[in-house]
Amino acid sequence: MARGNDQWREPVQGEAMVIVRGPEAYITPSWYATKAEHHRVVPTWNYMTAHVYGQLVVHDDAAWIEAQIRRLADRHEAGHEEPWSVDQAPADFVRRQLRAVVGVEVVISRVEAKFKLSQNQPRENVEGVIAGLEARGRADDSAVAAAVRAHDPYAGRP
Amino acid sequence: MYVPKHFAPPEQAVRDLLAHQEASDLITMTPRGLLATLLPSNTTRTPARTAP
Repeated sequence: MARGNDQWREPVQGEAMVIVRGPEAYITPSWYATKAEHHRVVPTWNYMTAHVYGQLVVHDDAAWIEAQIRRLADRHEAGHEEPWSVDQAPADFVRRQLRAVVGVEVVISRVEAKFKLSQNQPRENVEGVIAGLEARGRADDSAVAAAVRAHDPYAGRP
Repeated sequence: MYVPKHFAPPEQAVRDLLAHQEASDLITMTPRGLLATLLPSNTTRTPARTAP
């Protein structure tokens, strides 16, 4: 977090919360097979999310922050043709950059999660949602289609 | 969070979601009110411990 961001300086009342979001997508009722039968259908939003709660710990500690920065950079650079690494930057420059941020950690006490992936729909509608998402191809559609398939309550049933 | 039974994910699926997150919103309640920041983040599994 930027050192100039007051959030890390402000005393936290109770636990901190982190909202994690997975892929999400608009679901048109036109994909439901039951639309053709009775039209008692409505649009919805499919998503995966988690609310993570825990105590906030501030790390104003260059070594801790550098370890996290290296881990983040390595993770996100991994798919690049020529991955950038912290070591490519001059050491004194890195030291100055590290002073511009503070590390924050949430020590998790509990997690609440919801995967809303058409599990409440009849089988033919679930199949329609997967096919519709795969065909539409908007940003998260293929990932949501895969998630709907992975959490299909009818999978493996005759 | 309101989670109807049919939308409750298996524990391992939640662990996978957290492990693959790339950025998330940190929200804190402070004397100034609610504060939130979108941050790149890592998730680390460690033996159970308490915050210092």
